[in-house]
Amino acid sequence: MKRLDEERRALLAESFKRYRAGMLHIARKIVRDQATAEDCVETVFHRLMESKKERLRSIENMRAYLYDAARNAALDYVELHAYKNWTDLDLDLFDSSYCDPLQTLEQRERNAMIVEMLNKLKPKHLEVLMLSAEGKSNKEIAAMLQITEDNVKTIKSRGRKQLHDLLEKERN
Amino acid sequence: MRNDDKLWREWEADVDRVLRSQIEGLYREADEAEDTSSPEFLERMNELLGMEEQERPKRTHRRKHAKVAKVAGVAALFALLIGVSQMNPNADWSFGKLFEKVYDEFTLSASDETVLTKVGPDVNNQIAKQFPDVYVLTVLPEGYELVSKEGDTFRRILLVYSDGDGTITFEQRQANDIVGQDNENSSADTISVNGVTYQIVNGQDGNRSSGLIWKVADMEFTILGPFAQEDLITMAESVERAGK
Repeated sequence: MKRLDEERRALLAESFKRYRAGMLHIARKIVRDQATAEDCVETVFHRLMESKKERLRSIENMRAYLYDAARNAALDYVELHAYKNWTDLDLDLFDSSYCDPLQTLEQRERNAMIVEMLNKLKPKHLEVLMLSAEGKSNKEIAAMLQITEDNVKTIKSRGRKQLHDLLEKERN
Repeated sequence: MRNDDKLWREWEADVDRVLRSQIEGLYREADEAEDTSSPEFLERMNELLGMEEQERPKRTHRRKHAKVAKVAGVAALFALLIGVSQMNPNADWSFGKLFEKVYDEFTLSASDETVLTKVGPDVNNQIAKQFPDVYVLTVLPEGYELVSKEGDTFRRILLVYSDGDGTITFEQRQANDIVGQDNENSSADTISVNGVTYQIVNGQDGNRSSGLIWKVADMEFTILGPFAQEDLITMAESVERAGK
């Protein structure tokens, strides 16, 4: 057991050294505050220290896992603590400049509208929709967010409905 | 109603695509981010993870700073030479020749010459284990190693290499998944080398380019990295199917 803990610490310490700058960057973009971003990153490592050994071993891509986890922790923070009247606050996480530079003008305009709509989504909805867009199954999302699969389905459908409503609003 | 459903399905597909590109963009930005960790945070994490003293972060702009220092040094040297030549106009040395010599020295030392090396087969075999038939870079700048490999059901694979300072991202996807690639209004420059046309994206710094996009058969490849265009092309030309 002691050896396992040492291995776990060594792996996480190395990962922290390597990816902390990126994790802080992602969390800070969401919570907009350095100290809170640091808390989010710390939460991720606390969870990993307490997780089962199988979970840690099942991580194939540490960079993607840690970036996703920092993003989720920051969105969780925003959802739980920061803003009650969410619809009045744009997340401002997304940026049209991330889109493919070789797209047509029409597509760029469409993407800009989608980006604007995504910035208005509730953090929890966004969290699940992002994981889903990354190709993760409901089961994987449930394990990552520590919620049930039914919950994932509900959040996903509510997120889509919110997007649908925003689109309708845009069209009218 | 049916039209509405169709429209909505299209939008959903677009939303997923935009989300993916946003995540990739954000993560690429994160790879280049400077470490802003506060000392208190590092102390807490040291305690949690039982680490030895944390080294201060490497700055991604280190090379830029080194260049600025070189430019400042050369400017100071010129100022000194001008001063000396004005003090003694009959001196039997030519300032022009000296200028030429110093300029040559400077341009030689200031160019960050990239040393490209062959990638060991182990690395590419490791990638092929996760993604059979994947295309891989067989030449990389010295010190770069694979730090991440990601893929999805859309046959889009992203490989990220880093030397702990800079990052190279190499993306491959099936060309028929790409929307807008043949846009005639695109302002991207192109260059043809050995029969392959490369689109240069985000070109900057004159001879430096941060990215190339090119197509081979039904695949489209993108390589992004802070290297001279010819180095990126050498890397692009080294692309092979893993396990070939």
